[in-house]
Amino acid sequence: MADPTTATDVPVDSCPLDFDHTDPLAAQDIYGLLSTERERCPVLHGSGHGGFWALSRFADVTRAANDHEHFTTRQGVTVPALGLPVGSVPLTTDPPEHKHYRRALQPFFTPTAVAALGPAIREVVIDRVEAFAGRGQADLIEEIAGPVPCIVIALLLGLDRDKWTDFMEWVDGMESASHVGDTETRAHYAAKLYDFLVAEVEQRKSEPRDDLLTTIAQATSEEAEFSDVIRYGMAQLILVAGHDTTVAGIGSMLRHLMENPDLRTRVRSDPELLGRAIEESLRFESPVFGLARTVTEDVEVSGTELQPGDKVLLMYGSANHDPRRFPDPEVFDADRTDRPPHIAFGFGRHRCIGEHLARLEMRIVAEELLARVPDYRLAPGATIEMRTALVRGPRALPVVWDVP
Amino acid sequence: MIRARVDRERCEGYSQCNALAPELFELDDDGISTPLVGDVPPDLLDALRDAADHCPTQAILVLSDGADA
Ligand code: HEM
Ligand code: SF4
Repeated sequence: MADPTTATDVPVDSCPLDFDHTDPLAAQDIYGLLSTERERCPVLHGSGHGGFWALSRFADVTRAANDHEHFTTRQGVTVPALGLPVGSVPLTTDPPEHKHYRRALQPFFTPTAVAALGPAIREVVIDRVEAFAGRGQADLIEEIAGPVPCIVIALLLGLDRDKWTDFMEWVDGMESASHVGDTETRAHYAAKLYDFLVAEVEQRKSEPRDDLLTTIAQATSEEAEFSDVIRYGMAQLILVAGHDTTVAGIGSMLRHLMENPDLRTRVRSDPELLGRAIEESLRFESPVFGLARTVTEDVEVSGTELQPGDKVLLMYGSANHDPRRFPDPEVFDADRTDRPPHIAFGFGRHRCIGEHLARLEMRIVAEELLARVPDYRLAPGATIEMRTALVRGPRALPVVWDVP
Repeated sequence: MIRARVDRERCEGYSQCNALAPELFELDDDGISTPLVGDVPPDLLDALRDAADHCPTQAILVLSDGADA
Protein backbone atom coordinates (compact mmCIF):
# COMPACT_ATOMS: atom_id res chain seq x y z
CA MET A 1 0.00 0.00 0.00
CA ALA A 2 1.84 3.09 -1.23
CA ASP A 3 0.06 6.05 0.24
CA PRO A 4 -2.08 5.46 3.33
CA THR A 5 -3.91 8.77 2.92
CA THR A 6 -5.57 7.56 -0.25
CA ALA A 7 -6.42 4.14 1.12
CA THR A 8 -10.09 3.55 1.59
CA ASP A 9 -12.12 0.99 3.48
CA VAL A 10 -14.62 0.64 0.70
CA PRO A 11 -13.47 -1.68 -2.07
CA VAL A 12 -14.28 0.94 -4.70
CA ASP A 13 -13.23 -1.27 -7.59
CA SER A 14 -15.88 -3.83 -6.87
CA CYS A 15 -18.61 -1.18 -6.78
CA PRO A 16 -18.24 0.92 -9.88
CA LEU A 17 -21.96 1.22 -10.51
CA ASP A 18 -23.87 4.38 -9.65
CA PHE A 19 -27.06 2.58 -8.70
CA ASP A 20 -30.54 3.96 -9.31
CA HIS A 21 -33.50 1.65 -8.85
CA THR A 22 -35.80 4.31 -10.32
CA ASP A 23 -33.94 4.49 -13.64
CA PRO A 24 -36.57 3.23 -16.13
CA LEU A 25 -33.97 1.40 -18.20
CA ALA A 26 -32.28 -0.36 -15.30
CA ALA A 27 -35.69 -1.19 -13.84
CA GLN A 28 -36.77 -3.29 -16.82
CA ASP A 29 -34.12 -5.88 -15.97
CA ILE A 30 -33.33 -5.00 -12.37
CA TYR A 31 -32.82 -8.61 -11.27
CA GLY A 32 -30.42 -9.30 -14.13
CA LEU A 33 -28.39 -6.32 -12.98
CA LEU A 34 -28.57 -7.30 -9.32
CA SER A 35 -27.53 -10.90 -9.91
CA THR A 36 -24.11 -9.55 -10.86
CA GLU A 37 -23.95 -6.67 -8.39
CA ARG A 38 -25.08 -8.74 -5.40
CA GLU A 39 -21.97 -10.90 -5.79
CA ARG A 40 -19.34 -8.22 -6.21
CA CYS A 41 -20.91 -5.36 -4.29
CA PRO A 42 -23.35 -6.29 -1.51
CA VAL A 43 -23.83 -2.64 -0.49
CA LEU A 44 -24.48 -0.56 -3.58
CA HIS A 45 -24.26 3.19 -3.70
CA GLY A 46 -26.33 5.68 -5.64
CA SER A 47 -25.56 9.37 -6.03
CA GLY A 48 -29.11 10.24 -7.04
CA HIS A 49 -31.97 11.22 -4.69
CA GLY A 50 -29.53 12.95 -2.33
CA GLY A 51 -27.22 9.91 -2.10
CA PHE A 52 -28.08 6.50 -0.64
CA TRP A 53 -26.84 2.99 0.02
CA ALA A 54 -28.74 -0.09 -1.09
CA LEU A 55 -28.51 -3.52 0.56
CA SER A 56 -28.80 -6.41 -1.87
CA ARG A 57 -28.32 -9.54 0.24
CA PHE A 58 -30.94 -11.37 2.26
CA ALA A 59 -28.83 -11.54 5.44
CA ASP A 60 -28.01 -7.82 5.38
CA VAL A 61 -31.56 -6.72 4.61
CA THR A 62 -33.09 -8.82 7.39
CA ARG A 63 -30.45 -7.76 9.88
CA ALA A 64 -31.01 -4.06 9.19
CA ALA A 65 -34.80 -4.48 9.23
CA ASN A 66 -34.57 -6.00 12.69
CA ASP A 67 -32.20 -3.37 14.11
CA HIS A 68 -34.13 -0.19 14.83
CA GLU A 69 -31.32 1.07 17.04
CA HIS A 70 -29.05 1.64 14.06
CA PHE A 71 -31.69 1.95 11.34
CA THR A 72 -34.66 4.18 12.08
CA THR A 73 -37.86 4.68 10.08
CA ARG A 74 -38.54 8.04 11.70
CA GLN A 75 -37.08 10.07 8.86
CA GLY A 76 -39.14 8.43 6.15
CA VAL A 77 -39.01 5.04 4.46
CA THR A 78 -38.69 5.92 0.80
CA VAL A 79 -35.89 6.87 -1.59
CA PRO A 80 -36.82 9.28 -3.09
CA ALA A 81 -39.02 10.87 -0.41
CA LEU A 82 -42.77 10.68 -1.14
CA GLY A 83 -43.80 14.04 0.27
CA LEU A 84 -46.94 12.88 2.10
CA PRO A 85 -48.92 15.41 4.16
CA VAL A 86 -48.19 13.72 7.53
CA GLY A 87 -46.01 10.92 8.90
CA SER A 88 -47.27 7.39 8.26
CA VAL A 89 -48.15 5.77 11.56
CA PRO A 90 -47.07 3.17 12.71
CA LEU A 91 -44.50 2.84 9.93
CA THR A 92 -42.50 5.98 10.64
CA THR A 93 -42.40 5.41 14.39
CA ASP A 94 -39.85 3.32 16.32
CA PRO A 95 -40.05 1.43 19.59
CA PRO A 96 -41.27 2.06 22.20
CA GLU A 97 -44.30 3.94 20.75
CA HIS A 98 -44.53 1.84 17.60
CA LYS A 99 -46.18 -1.13 19.27
CA HIS A 100 -48.99 0.95 20.77
CA TYR A 101 -50.00 2.34 17.40
CA ARG A 102 -49.68 -1.00 15.71
CA ARG A 103 -51.70 -2.68 18.43
CA ALA A 104 -54.57 -0.25 17.84
CA LEU A 105 -54.83 -1.43 14.22
CA GLN A 106 -54.08 -5.11 14.83
CA PRO A 107 -57.62 -6.38 15.59
CA PHE A 108 -58.68 -5.48 12.02
CA PHE A 109 -55.87 -7.49 10.46
CA THR A 110 -55.87 -10.83 12.26
CA PRO A 111 -56.51 -13.88 10.05
CA THR A 112 -60.01 -14.18 11.54
CA ALA A 113 -60.92 -10.52 11.02
CA VAL A 114 -59.62 -10.58 7.47
CA ALA A 115 -61.42 -13.81 6.61
CA ALA A 116 -64.68 -12.13 7.63
CA LEU A 117 -64.19 -9.66 4.75
CA GLY A 118 -63.91 -12.54 2.28
CA PRO A 119 -67.54 -12.73 1.13
CA ALA A 120 -67.79 -8.97 0.53
CA ILE A 121 -64.51 -8.98 -1.40
CA ARG A 122 -65.66 -11.93 -3.48
CA GLU A 123 -68.88 -10.14 -4.37
CA VAL A 124 -66.94 -7.09 -5.55
CA VAL A 125 -64.53 -9.22 -7.59
CA ILE A 126 -67.29 -11.26 -9.24
CA ASP A 127 -69.10 -8.05 -10.21
CA ARG A 128 -65.95 -6.68 -11.81
CA VAL A 129 -65.05 -9.86 -13.67
CA GLU A 130 -68.56 -10.41 -15.00
CA ALA A 131 -68.55 -6.90 -16.41
CA PHE A 132 -65.78 -7.77 -18.89
CA ALA A 133 -65.69 -11.59 -19.16
CA GLY A 134 -67.86 -11.63 -22.27
CA ARG A 135 -65.74 -9.08 -24.08
CA GLY A 136 -62.80 -11.25 -25.10
CA GLN A 137 -60.26 -8.58 -24.28
CA ALA A 138 -59.30 -6.36 -21.36
CA ASP A 139 -56.48 -4.62 -19.60
CA LEU A 140 -56.45 -6.68 -16.41
CA ILE A 141 -54.77 -3.90 -14.46
CA GLU A 142 -57.42 -1.36 -15.36
CA GLU A 143 -60.35 -3.76 -14.99
CA ILE A 144 -59.45 -5.76 -11.92
CA ALA A 145 -56.01 -5.35 -10.31
CA GLY A 146 -56.49 -1.58 -10.05
CA PRO A 147 -60.01 -1.23 -8.66
CA VAL A 148 -60.18 -4.18 -6.24
CA PRO A 149 -57.60 -3.05 -3.63
CA CYS A 150 -59.14 0.41 -3.58
CA ILE A 151 -62.63 -0.94 -2.96
CA VAL A 152 -61.33 -3.32 -0.31
CA ILE A 153 -59.70 -0.44 1.56
CA ALA A 154 -62.96 1.48 1.39
CA LEU A 155 -64.69 -1.59 2.88
CA LEU A 156 -62.06 -2.00 5.56
CA LEU A 157 -61.99 1.65 6.61
CA GLY A 158 -65.78 1.69 6.66
CA LEU A 159 -66.55 4.19 3.89
CA ASP A 160 -70.10 4.39 2.60
CA ARG A 161 -70.70 2.72 -0.73
CA ASP A 162 -71.77 6.00 -2.31
CA LYS A 163 -68.43 7.56 -1.42
CA TRP A 164 -66.35 4.89 -3.14
CA THR A 165 -66.47 6.54 -6.52
CA ASP A 166 -64.96 9.82 -5.28
CA PHE A 167 -62.46 7.90 -3.26
CA MET A 168 -61.47 5.80 -6.27
CA GLU A 169 -61.24 8.79 -8.55
CA TRP A 170 -58.77 10.51 -6.21
CA VAL A 171 -56.71 7.39 -5.62
CA ASP A 172 -56.61 6.74 -9.38
CA GLY A 173 -55.77 10.36 -10.09
CA MET A 174 -52.95 10.24 -7.59
CA GLU A 175 -51.68 7.01 -9.03
CA SER A 176 -51.76 7.88 -12.70
CA ALA A 177 -50.06 11.20 -11.94
CA SER A 178 -47.27 9.47 -10.07
CA HIS A 179 -46.80 6.99 -12.96
CA VAL A 180 -45.93 9.83 -15.29
CA GLY A 181 -44.00 11.81 -12.68
CA ASP A 182 -46.54 14.67 -12.58
CA THR A 183 -45.94 15.81 -8.99
CA GLU A 184 -48.32 18.75 -9.17
CA THR A 185 -51.35 16.66 -10.13
CA ARG A 186 -50.31 14.02 -7.64
CA ALA A 187 -50.21 16.62 -4.87
CA HIS A 188 -53.62 17.91 -5.96
CA TYR A 189 -55.26 14.49 -5.57
CA ALA A 190 -53.24 13.66 -2.46
CA ALA A 191 -54.58 16.82 -0.82
CA LYS A 192 -58.17 15.95 -1.79
CA LEU A 193 -57.78 12.47 -0.36
CA TYR A 194 -56.18 13.78 2.77
CA ASP A 195 -58.98 16.31 3.36
CA PHE A 196 -61.49 13.55 2.78
CA LEU A 197 -59.85 11.21 5.29
CA VAL A 198 -59.56 14.00 7.86
CA ALA A 199 -63.28 14.72 7.51
CA GLU A 200 -64.12 11.01 7.88
CA VAL A 201 -61.97 10.69 11.00
CA GLU A 202 -63.51 13.83 12.51
CA GLN A 203 -67.00 12.52 11.80
CA ARG A 204 -66.21 9.22 13.59
CA LYS A 205 -65.24 11.15 16.71
CA SER A 206 -68.82 12.26 17.24
CA GLU A 207 -70.59 9.41 15.43
CA PRO A 208 -68.75 6.21 16.17
CA ARG A 209 -69.42 3.16 14.01
CA ASP A 210 -68.12 -0.36 13.94
CA ASP A 211 -65.23 0.24 11.54
CA LEU A 212 -61.50 0.82 11.29
CA LEU A 213 -61.88 4.60 10.89
CA THR A 214 -63.69 4.76 14.23
CA THR A 215 -60.85 2.87 15.88
CA ILE A 216 -58.39 5.30 14.30
CA ALA A 217 -60.53 8.24 15.48
CA GLN A 218 -60.99 7.01 19.04
CA ALA A 219 -58.00 4.89 20.01
CA THR A 220 -56.19 5.94 23.16
CA SER A 221 -53.21 4.63 25.08
CA GLU A 222 -51.50 5.53 28.33
CA GLU A 223 -48.12 4.99 26.76
CA ALA A 224 -48.32 6.74 23.41
CA GLU A 225 -49.79 9.99 22.23
CA PHE A 226 -52.80 9.78 19.91
CA SER A 227 -52.91 13.29 18.46
CA ASP A 228 -54.96 14.24 15.43
CA VAL A 229 -51.85 14.23 13.27
CA ILE A 230 -51.17 10.66 14.39
CA ARG A 231 -54.76 9.66 13.58
CA TYR A 232 -54.63 11.18 10.10
CA GLY A 233 -51.26 9.53 9.59
CA MET A 234 -52.78 6.15 10.34
CA ALA A 235 -55.64 6.60 7.89
CA GLN A 236 -53.18 7.83 5.27
CA LEU A 237 -50.87 4.85 5.77
CA ILE A 238 -53.62 2.27 5.36
CA LEU A 239 -54.40 3.79 2.00
CA VAL A 240 -50.82 4.30 0.83
CA ALA A 241 -49.52 0.93 2.05
CA GLY A 242 -52.57 -1.11 1.10
CA HIS A 243 -53.39 0.17 -2.35
CA ASP A 244 -50.55 0.36 -4.92
CA THR A 245 -48.77 -2.57 -3.33
CA THR A 246 -51.74 -4.86 -3.79
CA VAL A 247 -52.44 -3.59 -7.32
CA ALA A 248 -48.89 -4.63 -8.20
CA GLY A 249 -49.21 -7.93 -6.32
CA ILE A 250 -52.38 -8.91 -8.19
CA GLY A 251 -50.97 -7.64 -11.51
CA SER A 252 -47.77 -9.67 -11.26
CA MET A 253 -49.64 -12.77 -10.15
CA LEU A 254 -51.98 -12.54 -13.17
CA ARG A 255 -48.96 -12.07 -15.38
CA HIS A 256 -47.14 -15.13 -14.03
CA LEU A 257 -50.27 -17.26 -14.36
CA MET A 258 -50.52 -16.11 -17.98
CA GLU A 259 -46.89 -16.97 -18.66
CA ASN A 260 -47.29 -20.41 -17.07
CA PRO A 261 -50.51 -21.77 -18.63
CA ASP A 262 -49.98 -25.27 -17.29
CA LEU A 263 -49.71 -23.95 -13.75
CA ARG A 264 -52.75 -21.78 -14.38
CA THR A 265 -54.83 -24.80 -15.30
CA ARG A 266 -53.68 -26.76 -12.28
CA VAL A 267 -54.27 -24.00 -9.68
CA ARG A 268 -57.97 -24.02 -10.55
CA SER A 269 -58.42 -27.37 -8.85
CA ASP A 270 -55.58 -27.16 -6.33
CA PRO A 271 -55.97 -24.41 -3.69
CA GLU A 272 -52.65 -25.27 -2.09
CA LEU A 273 -50.82 -24.88 -5.39
CA LEU A 274 -52.55 -21.53 -5.88
CA GLY A 275 -51.15 -20.54 -2.47
CA ARG A 276 -47.65 -21.46 -3.63
CA ALA A 277 -48.15 -19.59 -6.91
CA ILE A 278 -49.13 -16.49 -4.92
CA GLU A 279 -46.04 -16.78 -2.70
CA GLU A 280 -43.73 -17.44 -5.64
CA SER A 281 -45.14 -14.41 -7.45
CA LEU A 282 -44.56 -12.24 -4.36
CA ARG A 283 -40.99 -13.54 -4.13
CA PHE A 284 -40.17 -13.34 -7.82
CA GLU A 285 -41.65 -9.89 -8.44
CA SER A 286 -41.91 -8.33 -5.01
CA PRO A 287 -44.42 -5.46 -5.20
CA VAL A 288 -42.45 -3.40 -2.70
CA PHE A 289 -38.99 -3.41 -4.24
CA GLY A 290 -37.39 -1.74 -1.25
CA LEU A 291 -37.96 0.63 1.64
CA ALA A 292 -35.49 2.87 3.36
CA ARG A 293 -34.08 3.53 6.78
CA THR A 294 -31.85 6.30 8.14
CA VAL A 295 -28.66 5.35 9.98
CA THR A 296 -28.54 6.65 13.57
CA GLU A 297 -25.12 5.38 14.73
CA ASP A 298 -21.97 4.18 12.97
CA VAL A 299 -22.58 0.67 11.71
CA GLU A 300 -20.87 -1.72 9.32
CA VAL A 301 -22.72 -3.76 6.72
CA SER A 302 -20.80 -6.36 4.68
CA GLY A 303 -17.57 -4.35 4.87
CA THR A 304 -19.09 -0.93 4.22
CA GLU A 305 -19.07 1.67 6.99
CA LEU A 306 -22.34 3.57 7.24
CA GLN A 307 -22.63 6.87 9.08
CA PRO A 308 -25.39 8.66 10.96
CA GLY A 309 -27.74 10.38 8.54
CA ASP A 310 -27.02 7.97 5.66
CA LYS A 311 -30.07 6.71 3.79
CA VAL A 312 -30.17 2.95 3.26
CA LEU A 313 -32.55 1.18 0.92
CA LEU A 314 -33.45 -2.33 2.13
CA MET A 315 -34.05 -4.05 -1.19
CA TYR A 316 -36.60 -6.70 -0.24
CA GLY A 317 -36.88 -7.65 -3.92
CA SER A 318 -33.15 -8.25 -4.19
CA ALA A 319 -33.09 -10.23 -0.95
CA ASN A 320 -35.82 -12.42 -2.47
CA HIS A 321 -33.47 -13.21 -5.38
CA ASP A 322 -30.40 -13.92 -3.24
CA PRO A 323 -29.09 -17.38 -4.20
CA ARG A 324 -27.71 -17.77 -0.65
CA ARG A 325 -31.31 -18.13 0.46
CA PHE A 326 -33.23 -19.19 -2.66
CA PRO A 327 -31.64 -21.80 -4.96
CA ASP A 328 -32.20 -20.92 -8.65
CA PRO A 329 -33.68 -17.56 -7.70
CA GLU A 330 -34.19 -16.39 -11.28
CA VAL A 331 -36.55 -19.26 -12.05
CA PHE A 332 -40.26 -18.78 -11.34
CA ASP A 333 -41.30 -22.17 -9.99
CA ALA A 334 -44.47 -22.57 -7.96
CA ASP A 335 -44.02 -26.35 -7.84
CA ARG A 336 -40.95 -26.13 -5.62
CA THR A 337 -42.02 -27.05 -2.13
CA ASP A 338 -38.61 -26.22 -0.68
CA ARG A 339 -38.71 -22.45 -1.20
CA PRO A 340 -38.08 -20.81 2.17
CA PRO A 341 -40.36 -17.91 3.14
CA HIS A 342 -39.75 -14.69 1.21
CA ILE A 343 -39.67 -11.19 2.69
CA ALA A 344 -41.94 -9.39 0.24
CA PHE A 345 -43.93 -8.23 3.28
CA GLY A 346 -40.81 -6.93 5.02
CA PHE A 347 -39.12 -8.24 8.14
CA GLY A 348 -39.23 -7.49 11.86
CA ARG A 349 -41.41 -4.99 13.68
CA HIS A 350 -42.69 -3.18 10.63
CA ARG A 351 -43.62 -6.36 8.79
CA CYS A 352 -46.74 -5.79 6.79
CA ILE A 353 -49.82 -5.75 8.97
CA GLY A 354 -51.97 -6.26 5.84
CA GLU A 355 -50.35 -9.49 4.60
CA HIS A 356 -53.39 -11.70 5.18
CA LEU A 357 -55.64 -9.21 3.46
CA ALA A 358 -53.29 -8.89 0.49
CA ARG A 359 -53.07 -12.67 0.10
CA LEU A 360 -56.84 -13.02 0.35
CA GLU A 361 -57.39 -10.42 -2.38
CA MET A 362 -54.86 -12.14 -4.62
CA ARG A 363 -56.50 -15.52 -4.10
CA ILE A 364 -60.05 -14.32 -4.70
CA VAL A 365 -59.07 -12.48 -7.87
CA ALA A 366 -57.29 -15.57 -9.22
CA GLU A 367 -60.19 -17.88 -8.36
CA GLU A 368 -62.96 -15.74 -9.77
CA LEU A 369 -61.10 -14.58 -12.86
CA LEU A 370 -59.95 -18.10 -13.81
CA ALA A 371 -63.45 -19.48 -13.26
CA ARG A 372 -64.72 -17.14 -15.99
CA VAL A 373 -61.65 -16.37 -18.09
CA PRO A 374 -59.44 -19.46 -17.84
CA ASP A 375 -57.19 -18.94 -20.87
CA TYR A 376 -56.27 -15.29 -21.35
CA ARG A 377 -53.09 -14.47 -23.29
CA LEU A 378 -51.11 -11.32 -23.99
CA ALA A 379 -52.77 -9.19 -26.69
CA PRO A 380 -51.05 -9.51 -30.09
CA GLY A 381 -48.15 -7.08 -30.38
CA ALA A 382 -48.33 -6.03 -26.72
CA THR A 383 -45.32 -6.03 -24.39
CA ILE A 384 -45.32 -5.75 -20.61
CA GLU A 385 -43.78 -2.63 -19.18
CA MET A 386 -42.92 -2.51 -15.50
CA ARG A 387 -43.63 0.36 -13.15
CA THR A 388 -40.40 1.44 -11.55
CA ALA A 389 -39.32 2.93 -8.25
CA LEU A 390 -41.02 2.08 -5.00
CA VAL A 391 -43.67 -0.29 -6.23
CA ARG A 392 -42.96 -2.75 -9.04
CA GLY A 393 -45.67 -4.32 -11.12
CA PRO A 394 -46.97 -4.29 -14.69
CA ARG A 395 -48.27 -0.90 -15.78
CA ALA A 396 -50.85 -2.59 -17.97
CA LEU A 397 -51.77 -6.18 -18.80
CA PRO A 398 -53.63 -6.11 -22.14
CA VAL A 399 -54.95 -9.60 -22.79
CA VAL A 400 -57.35 -11.42 -25.10
CA TRP A 401 -59.27 -14.69 -24.79
CA ASP A 402 -61.78 -16.73 -26.77
CA VAL A 403 -65.40 -16.03 -26.02
CA PRO A 404 -67.75 -18.94 -26.72
CA MET B 1 -37.76 -33.46 22.62
CA ILE B 2 -37.85 -29.79 21.75
CA ARG B 3 -40.81 -27.54 22.51
CA ALA B 4 -41.53 -23.93 21.70
CA ARG B 5 -43.07 -21.47 24.08
CA VAL B 6 -44.17 -17.90 23.45
CA ASP B 7 -43.87 -15.43 26.29
CA ARG B 8 -47.21 -13.66 25.97
CA GLU B 9 -45.95 -10.66 27.92
CA ARG B 10 -43.11 -10.07 25.48
CA CYS B 11 -44.82 -10.97 22.20
CA GLU B 12 -45.93 -7.84 20.34
CA GLY B 13 -47.61 -9.64 17.47
CA TYR B 14 -45.36 -8.84 14.50
CA SER B 15 -45.96 -12.28 13.05
CA GLN B 16 -42.34 -12.73 12.07
CA CYS B 17 -42.49 -16.21 13.62
CA ASN B 18 -45.49 -17.18 11.53
CA ALA B 19 -43.70 -15.97 8.41
CA LEU B 20 -40.60 -18.05 9.14
CA ALA B 21 -42.30 -21.09 10.65
CA PRO B 22 -45.98 -21.19 9.62
CA GLU B 23 -46.27 -24.81 10.79
CA LEU B 24 -45.22 -23.82 14.30
CA PHE B 25 -46.74 -20.42 15.11
CA GLU B 26 -49.94 -18.57 14.40
CA LEU B 27 -51.35 -15.34 15.81
CA ASP B 28 -54.47 -15.79 17.92
CA ASP B 29 -57.39 -13.38 17.91
CA ASP B 30 -55.58 -11.13 20.38
CA GLY B 31 -52.76 -10.86 17.89
CA ILE B 32 -50.39 -12.84 20.10
CA SER B 33 -48.39 -15.76 18.80
CA THR B 34 -49.37 -19.28 19.85
CA PRO B 35 -47.36 -22.44 19.27
CA LEU B 36 -49.26 -24.90 17.08
CA VAL B 37 -47.48 -28.09 18.10
CA GLY B 38 -46.15 -29.65 21.27
CA ASP B 39 -43.00 -31.56 20.41
CA VAL B 40 -41.38 -29.93 17.41
CA PRO B 41 -40.65 -32.48 14.66
CA PRO B 42 -36.96 -32.68 13.71
CA ASP B 43 -37.48 -31.32 10.20
CA LEU B 44 -38.90 -28.11 11.67
CA LEU B 45 -36.10 -27.45 14.14
CA ASP B 46 -34.26 -25.13 11.77
CA ALA B 47 -37.43 -23.15 11.18
CA LEU B 48 -37.98 -22.95 14.94
CA ARG B 49 -34.49 -21.60 15.56
CA ASP B 50 -34.88 -19.16 12.69
CA ALA B 51 -38.12 -17.86 14.19
CA ALA B 52 -36.69 -17.65 17.71
CA ASP B 53 -33.58 -15.81 16.47
CA HIS B 54 -35.56 -13.29 14.48
CA CYS B 55 -38.44 -12.54 16.80
CA PRO B 56 -38.00 -8.78 17.29
CA THR B 57 -38.91 -9.01 20.97
CA GLN B 58 -37.16 -12.30 21.79
CA ALA B 59 -40.48 -13.73 22.91
CA ILE B 60 -39.87 -17.28 21.67
CA LEU B 61 -38.33 -19.76 24.04
CA VAL B 62 -36.88 -23.01 22.78
CA LEU B 63 -37.17 -25.59 25.53
CA SER B 64 -35.45 -28.94 25.49
CA ASP B 65 -36.55 -32.03 27.33
CA GLY B 66 -36.73 -31.68 31.08
CA ALA B 67 -36.98 -27.90 31.02
CA ASP B 68 -40.14 -26.53 32.55
CA ALA B 69 -42.72 -25.86 29.92
C1 HEM C 1 -49.14 -7.42 -1.87
C2 HEM C 1 -49.45 -6.37 -1.12
C3 HEM C 1 -48.57 -5.78 -0.06
C4 HEM C 1 -47.20 -5.78 0.04
C5 HEM C 1 -46.19 -6.40 -0.91
C6 HEM C 1 -46.86 -5.05 1.25
C7 HEM C 1 -45.55 -4.85 1.68
C8 HEM C 1 -45.21 -4.24 2.87
C9 HEM C 1 -43.87 -4.09 3.36
C10 HEM C 1 -42.61 -4.56 2.63
C11 HEM C 1 -43.92 -3.47 4.56
C12 HEM C 1 -42.72 -3.14 5.47
C13 HEM C 1 -42.41 -1.70 5.50
C14 HEM C 1 -40.98 -1.40 5.89
O1 HEM C 1 -40.17 -2.32 6.09
O2 HEM C 1 -40.61 -0.21 5.99
C15 HEM C 1 -45.31 -3.19 4.84
C16 HEM C 1 -45.80 -2.54 5.97
C17 HEM C 1 -47.11 -2.20 6.15
N1 HEM C 1 -48.19 -2.57 5.35
FE1 HEM C 1 -48.11 -3.71 3.68
N2 HEM C 1 -48.00 -4.63 1.85
C18 HEM C 1 -49.07 -5.06 1.10
C19 HEM C 1 -50.42 -4.86 1.38
C20 HEM C 1 -50.89 -4.16 2.47
C21 HEM C 1 -52.30 -3.96 2.77
C22 HEM C 1 -53.46 -4.54 1.96
C23 HEM C 1 -52.35 -3.17 3.89
C24 HEM C 1 -53.53 -2.61 4.64
C25 HEM C 1 -54.71 -2.45 4.15
C26 HEM C 1 -50.97 -2.90 4.30
C27 HEM C 1 -50.61 -2.13 5.39
C28 HEM C 1 -49.32 -2.01 5.89
C29 HEM C 1 -48.98 -1.25 7.08
C30 HEM C 1 -49.95 -0.49 7.98
C31 HEM C 1 -47.60 -1.37 7.26
C32 HEM C 1 -46.75 -0.75 8.36
C33 HEM C 1 -46.62 -1.70 9.52
C34 HEM C 1 -45.76 -1.15 10.65
O3 HEM C 1 -45.08 -0.14 10.50
O4 HEM C 1 -45.78 -1.76 11.73
N3 HEM C 1 -50.12 -3.52 3.42
N4 HEM C 1 -46.08 -3.68 3.80
S1 SF4 D 1 -42.18 -12.83 16.03
FE1 SF4 D 1 -42.12 -12.58 18.25
S2 SF4 D 1 -43.26 -10.72 18.63
FE2 SF4 D 1 -43.75 -11.37 16.57
S3 SF4 D 1 -45.61 -12.57 16.78
FE3 SF4 D 1 -43.91 -13.99 16.82
S4 SF4 D 1 -43.46 -14.19 18.99
FE4 SF4 D 1 -44.72 -12.39 18.81
